[in-house]
Amino acid sequence: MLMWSAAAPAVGAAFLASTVEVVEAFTIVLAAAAMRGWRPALFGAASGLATLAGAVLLFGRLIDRVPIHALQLLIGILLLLFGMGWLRKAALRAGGVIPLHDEDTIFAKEAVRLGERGPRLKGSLDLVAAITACKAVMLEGLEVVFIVIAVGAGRGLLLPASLGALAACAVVLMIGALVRRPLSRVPENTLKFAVGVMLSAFGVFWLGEGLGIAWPGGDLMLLVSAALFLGAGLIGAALARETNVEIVA
Amino acid sequence: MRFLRELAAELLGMFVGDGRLAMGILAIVAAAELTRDAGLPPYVAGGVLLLGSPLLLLENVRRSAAQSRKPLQAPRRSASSANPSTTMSVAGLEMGSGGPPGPHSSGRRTKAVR
Repeated sequence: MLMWSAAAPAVGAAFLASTVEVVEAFTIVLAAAAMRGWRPALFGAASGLATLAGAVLLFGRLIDRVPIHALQLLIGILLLLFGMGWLRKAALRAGGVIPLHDEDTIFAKEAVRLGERGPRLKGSLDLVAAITACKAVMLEGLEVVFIVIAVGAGRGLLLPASLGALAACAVVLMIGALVRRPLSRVPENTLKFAVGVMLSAFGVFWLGEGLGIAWPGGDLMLLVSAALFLGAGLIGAALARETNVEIVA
Repeated sequence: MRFLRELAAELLGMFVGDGRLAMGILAIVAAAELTRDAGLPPYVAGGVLLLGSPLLLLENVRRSAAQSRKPLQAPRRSASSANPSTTMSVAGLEMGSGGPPGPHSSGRRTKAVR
């Protein structure tokens, strides 16, 4: 039987990370649809999703054949690289060292880029829009797939993690369908910060298990690790902000 | 072909956004493995991972912030604006549109922060 105390961190991480990624993909698909029409944008998005589904089926079967300790070690390293990368950027953004991710700006830039590609031919599928949408869905979707596999594969939690990601897709697409504009009010940096903390904590945990460390307290060590990363991220953001203020002054 | 190149670059960028951080993480993993191979108790390797990774992050953020040197402008805020931020904020993580402009707000980026 599924223990929700064990599954909740995986589902939460998959949900929050997928929210960020789906918001980013939605912005690009929306720009493609607004500038070149919904038909090619949706065709491109569907093509991207189909390619991703194929990759998940292929790699899902391969994962079953990898010994659990090797899998935990590999996923642990990749999670640390990925999670700490997100946390680093989120801390630097919070400190004002690099600009915040702005969906309105990205939408405007993408719309200008698509507008410069010339008029589309009537009756034919607009490949520019289709490829743009396909690429956005594939690239952002790949990150979602990685996160779902990374937080779910080590403990047989692939299904709950996938449900978390699907729920995020449903929520973002429903809101997107209602407002029909870039979702710029989503607190993206806060989400990325939280996801960075969770993925980094999972990374340390899996790495330890892969190295044969029996963590005292078992899954509770995830919380300790998350607390340490949260502290490091917040102190890092404060230090970055301080440096930024010193430079401005 | 360009599409595949971009895909490969994006995949690499997913894991190696900052070379120094990536190298540091690999060094910590190697150190943890070495303590295990040296016959030290497993909690030593656990301690290396548990404490080394957050400390590495802290050092990397501090260094990146210090290295981002660029001509800057002082923040300009309207005195009439009672609530300059239009972005939701949790623990100060979102600076909002009314916050002070960061050193990269004009679009240029330094090598220090990617």
